Amino acid sequence: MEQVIQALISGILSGGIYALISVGLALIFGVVGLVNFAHGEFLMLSMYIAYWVYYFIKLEPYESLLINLVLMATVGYIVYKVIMTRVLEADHSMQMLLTLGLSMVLQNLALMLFKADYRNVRIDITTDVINIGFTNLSTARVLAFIVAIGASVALYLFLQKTYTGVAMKAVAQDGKAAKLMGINIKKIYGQAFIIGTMLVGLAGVLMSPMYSVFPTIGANFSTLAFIVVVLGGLSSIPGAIFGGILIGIVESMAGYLLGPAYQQAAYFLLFILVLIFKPSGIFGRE
Amino acid sequence: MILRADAITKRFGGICALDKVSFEIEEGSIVGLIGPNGAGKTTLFNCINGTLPIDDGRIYFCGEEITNKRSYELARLGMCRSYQIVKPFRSMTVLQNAMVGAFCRVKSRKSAQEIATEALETVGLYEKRDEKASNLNIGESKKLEIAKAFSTKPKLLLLDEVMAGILPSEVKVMSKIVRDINESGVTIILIEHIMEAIMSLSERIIVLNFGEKIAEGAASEVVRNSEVIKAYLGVEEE
Amino acid sequence: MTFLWTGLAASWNFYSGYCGRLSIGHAAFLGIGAYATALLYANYGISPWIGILVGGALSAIVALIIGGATLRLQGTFFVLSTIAFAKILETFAITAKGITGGSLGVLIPYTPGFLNMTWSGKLPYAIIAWAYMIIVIAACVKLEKSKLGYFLKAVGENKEAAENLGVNSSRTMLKAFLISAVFTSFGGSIMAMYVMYIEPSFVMSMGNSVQFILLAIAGGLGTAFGPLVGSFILVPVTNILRGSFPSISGLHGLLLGLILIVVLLYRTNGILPALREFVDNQRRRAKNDIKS
Repeated sequence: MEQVIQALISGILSGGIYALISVGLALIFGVVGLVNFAHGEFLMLSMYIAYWVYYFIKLEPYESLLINLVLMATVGYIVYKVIMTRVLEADHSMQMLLTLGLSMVLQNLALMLFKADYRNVRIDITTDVINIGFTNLSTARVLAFIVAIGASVALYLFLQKTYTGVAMKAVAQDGKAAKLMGINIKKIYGQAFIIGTMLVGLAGVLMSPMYSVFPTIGANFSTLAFIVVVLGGLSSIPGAIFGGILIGIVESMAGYLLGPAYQQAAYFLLFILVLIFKPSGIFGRE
Repeated sequence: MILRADAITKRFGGICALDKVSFEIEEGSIVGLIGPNGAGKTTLFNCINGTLPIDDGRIYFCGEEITNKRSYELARLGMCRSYQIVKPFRSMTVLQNAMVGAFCRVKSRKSAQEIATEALETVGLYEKRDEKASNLNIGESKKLEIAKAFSTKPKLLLLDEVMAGILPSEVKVMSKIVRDINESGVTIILIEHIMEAIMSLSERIIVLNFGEKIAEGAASEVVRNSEVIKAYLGVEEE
Repeated sequence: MTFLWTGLAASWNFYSGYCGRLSIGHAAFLGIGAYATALLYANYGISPWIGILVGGALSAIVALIIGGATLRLQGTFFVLSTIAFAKILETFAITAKGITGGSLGVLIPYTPGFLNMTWSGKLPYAIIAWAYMIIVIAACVKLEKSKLGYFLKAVGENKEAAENLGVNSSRTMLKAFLISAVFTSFGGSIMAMYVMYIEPSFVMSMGNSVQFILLAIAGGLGTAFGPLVGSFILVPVTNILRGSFPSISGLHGLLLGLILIVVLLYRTNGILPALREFVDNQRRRAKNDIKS
């Protein structure tokens, strides 16, 4: 029983990170309507930034957070300006292929520059644990969970309360109408894309003390984030948060009950079942 | 009787888009379907041809019950429609568009081509047969809609506003096309806003308002019907 | 190898190219073909020629299941579900160690002979791959002229309008998906016999399907000869690159990704249609010259 609870908690903790990655994707998908297969590669990029900054100037990932976010925002801006603006009107399959191409480029660029080695940021917190009675939890994971959920909720509030946020929601609902109301859609698109990129950048920072970084780390997270977003009802931010946690739990429980090899298969199966029986997502409205 | 609708009802959420609409269509006739915007005309087409499931009522086509059959089954039985908002297969040529319809009846490419060519000649698009469908103007697109549907060799054709948005000079041409198709033995139901065209074409007219059939009869009678005038002019009841 | 890639690209094109529904999980069928052939031969000594057919039959069954389950899904959802199915099969290949040898893969014994589909030279493989390519391309040519081809394009563009014209969209999509899957499976079988060693991360991986998808797109989506043009330009180029700079890993993938982006941004239709347009324009210009 204790082990089940442990698996559950561990699932919830990873779920927080998944939620954070997915929230960025959901924002980009919901507002810009872009299906971004390179989202995971942005994560990889952020982790490499964290790693190299640590390697060269000994700044821990948390300390280099600002540098990281600024760099990620720049990357997001460039990608948006150079590539995405040209395909905003194109259909989804084309956008998907394009971002798939982008992910190939980023992945292989990383492979060329940084080689296929697994690189770790080993800092104190990596091995720190918090004792909660019957089990020990990794401090880094707890911290990541708290920050991730905090950031996701902050994004949700941002969309509810600020002018830009509300404008984003308006664009997400009906781009044409929003344009007629005098909202500069192009600008909103760009902002949403950059915020989405920064969120995944934050996820990268939080993950770097725990996960090794290597060129293909993003690929799995891209599909994972997509699944979360679909489960959560596409553009819904709360949906993405819960979807992320749910996937974390499913993954961890499947790993515990069936064995680690089935972790991925379990959530892919869940995904297919949801698509077939409730395509609007578990948390989506009919 | 080629088509019989028996108390068709369709609801969208709480709104009743069609309320117990019943009518009969005689074989070989042209029947006009009119009514103000939002009266449920296109919804009626969607329900008859299987695009939307109906909530209540029955539909019979050539004596056979077809309630809630899929539209491709109905096309094979001989019922086809055109769309108000044209839906061409953009990447295909005009001829290929019509051939998709023709393949409903024949297997070989050659015979499909023959049927499609005939249909294009009927609507006057033969010259444009090798153009991409995306290059057609609105009038030509409407004609292509008819040609596609006509290629399936239908017994009953549902035409949804084929004259809307085209040049006034083209209305006459379109009327002639509709008549030609009718004379080749196809029964036609016509949704149209251009009164002149519908009056001259249709033998009978059915009037819908807020999802209900409010009048039916010969064209000259219907225009004098007080309910119809009220529906169109929006006269308030005292 | 170029022949084989062309055949695979054309197999994929058969469904996704004409219909516009992108299946990124086609590697699943490649894997089924490869595994069926390799396992039957390595474990039971059954001739790969039979193995190819068994693989095809298996792929057909799986295609019916996947195709049937995903019929209603559109756009993004369809793409993601194909990925999910492929991932599940990949997991199966990795975990079912008793059947598939797990992540270690299957080594195909080397005993040359026609019945074993194993030869010491490369020529016989080239001939088989060539024949495979010709068959798939011929099938695509036939498709373009057949009822199925017309229906498939129509359904891809507008399902409702196609159904109105008597097209049974479910049947059309399933049929094409199935044929495409079987062809892909054949390619997988041939690949397995050529490489003589298969493992999940090679034959089942997404990267593999992305490769032949890319070839088809670069050449021209939904054209019979597009994959041919795409492969014959791209495969040799990338091979030469890989040969000249063997120390830089990733260069190959980087280039493919860049090509994909460039093709999509500038020539959405692919190389072949672009060439055709160019030739047409030249002709038209020549005609005008004569007139004037």
